[in-house]
Amino acid sequence: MKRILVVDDEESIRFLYKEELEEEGFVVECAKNGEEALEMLSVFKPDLVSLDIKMPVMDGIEALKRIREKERQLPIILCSAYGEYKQDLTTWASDAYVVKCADLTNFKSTIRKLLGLS
Amino acid sequence: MANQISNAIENALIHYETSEMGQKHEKRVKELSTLWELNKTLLTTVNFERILHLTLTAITIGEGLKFNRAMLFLVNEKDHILEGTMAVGPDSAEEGGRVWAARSQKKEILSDLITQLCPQGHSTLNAIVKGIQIPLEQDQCILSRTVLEGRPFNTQFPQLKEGWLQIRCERGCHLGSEVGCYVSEHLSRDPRVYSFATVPLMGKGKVIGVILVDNLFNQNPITEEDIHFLSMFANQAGLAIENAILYRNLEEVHQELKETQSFLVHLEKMVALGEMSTTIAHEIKNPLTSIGGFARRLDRAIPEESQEKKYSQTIVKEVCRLEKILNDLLSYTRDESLALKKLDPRDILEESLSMVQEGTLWGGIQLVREFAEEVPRVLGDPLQLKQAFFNLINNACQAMSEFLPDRQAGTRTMKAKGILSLRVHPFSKNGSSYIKVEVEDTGKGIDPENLPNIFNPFYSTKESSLGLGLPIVHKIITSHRGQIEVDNHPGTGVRFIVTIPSSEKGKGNRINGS
Repeated sequence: MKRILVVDDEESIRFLYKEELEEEGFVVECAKNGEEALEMLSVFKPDLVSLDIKMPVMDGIEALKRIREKERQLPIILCSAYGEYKQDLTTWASDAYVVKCADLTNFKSTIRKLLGLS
Repeated sequence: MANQISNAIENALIHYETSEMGQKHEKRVKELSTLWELNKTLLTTVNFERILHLTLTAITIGEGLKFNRAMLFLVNEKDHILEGTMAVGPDSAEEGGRVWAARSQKKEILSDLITQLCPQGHSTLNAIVKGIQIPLEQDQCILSRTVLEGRPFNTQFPQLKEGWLQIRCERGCHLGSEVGCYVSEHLSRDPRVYSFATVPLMGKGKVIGVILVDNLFNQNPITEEDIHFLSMFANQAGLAIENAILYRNLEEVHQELKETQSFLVHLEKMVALGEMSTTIAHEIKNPLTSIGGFARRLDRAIPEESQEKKYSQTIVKEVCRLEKILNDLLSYTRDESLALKKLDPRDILEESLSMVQEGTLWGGIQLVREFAEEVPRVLGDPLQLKQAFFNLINNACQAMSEFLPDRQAGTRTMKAKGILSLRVHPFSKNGSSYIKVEVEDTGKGIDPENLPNIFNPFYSTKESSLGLGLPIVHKIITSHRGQIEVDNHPGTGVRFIVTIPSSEKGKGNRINGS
């Protein structure tokens, strides 16, 4: 079973993602910010990380850099409320960029694609 | 006896000369006092139109310079032409007779009389003169020669029935040439018998225009003295007109500054609004994602036949709408830098099209593609351009759709019908290559009342729209150094024409490499 680390400062979003992804058969753990995510990385050993951008303590961009220093191959999805124009960020560090929306079809299919499941 | 006779004759001669000199002086004094009166009236205003009218009225009024008609042409330095600006004078001898008879009955001070006369912009003569444009080139016409040589011309055409074409060239203006004489062609009923005079209008050290006078109706000959008097007045009038032009320019610049200032204030407000709405939209989006996400989970859990299914579906649908509004707002207000790539505009259009076709609007819409076989690449941001064309195509589909009541189900369903035409063609202008993309529908078109506002943010005629669809298109296209135009046909459809510069140099119909 593939393991996914969901990083988001909004509790309701963490809850939603966890429910939805567990229903898809993934093992899901959550972190409230970039710092927490880094701590959990060695313990939880995720196969994929979903990173929100705007977070307190340590934001998604900083977390992305730090994770990349440790884990070069780990698939990371940047996930934000901003429009899809920000996609140029993916060119340098993340593997995908997903705009947050209520319809999680795109989010889930991106995860499956990155994990080679589809 | 002989001595006495010679003395008497001498006295008579002296008396004659003295009285002639007296008459001359009297005339000169009268002229100078008229000139002073006329100049005084020119100082009463700095309004451009008013000054011109005062000048021409002073030339035509019986108490002034007594010409039948006066016309004014001003130099347009930018285009190097002489432009007809204003004319004063009756359109016919009968009208002239009436005006002059009525005026002669009133005995008023000259300056008061002139200032009382209001501009008559509707006369035929004025309309003719305003339409005249003469190239400022040597030998083109007496009018341009008056400017270039800076001297008056008194042109008396002999009333000859035969051979008049040759004689009319004697002043050096090519009256018999192909160009024709602008003056006689336009201003006389019979060019063969037209006599007129022109004097240069002097500004500060340069000729700023020409005054043309004639006595078309009473056929009084124009004497050299008349020309001299007119020239003296024209020198004064020239300065007054030049001042009025400077004042008008100053007013224009002032107006422009005022407009720029209000635009900047508006811009500042928009920036503040943009920053605020971005923050708010961002804050709303997160909770909305979870509301919508859980609504979908609930919706999946609720059986189809239950009453609660309608509730959950309504929540899902409304969250979708709110998300769209927030996405529009975020994409309009965010200052995104362009991630430029070389793109084939046809591919972008196809991608936008597939985004629309996934939706529910497509129904009975017939698609017509007219893509040129060879299209040069454009340098653009693929996501932004895809969004721009998506908005245009989506709007076109919406314009061809309407809600129709479904009586059996008791609901309303969306029906779409019409032709959507997409065209991509290269073209070149001034040596640069461009791509033209057209999105045309056969919908209802845009209400002409709304047309000036369609690119203004937050202006919408749709029930559930924030009014950012077309402003986003406009923002994206202009950030690509492109242009967007609208060809609107109310009732039958609308065509949006987008022009974007190509990344390839040379002719628009060639592809230079890939």
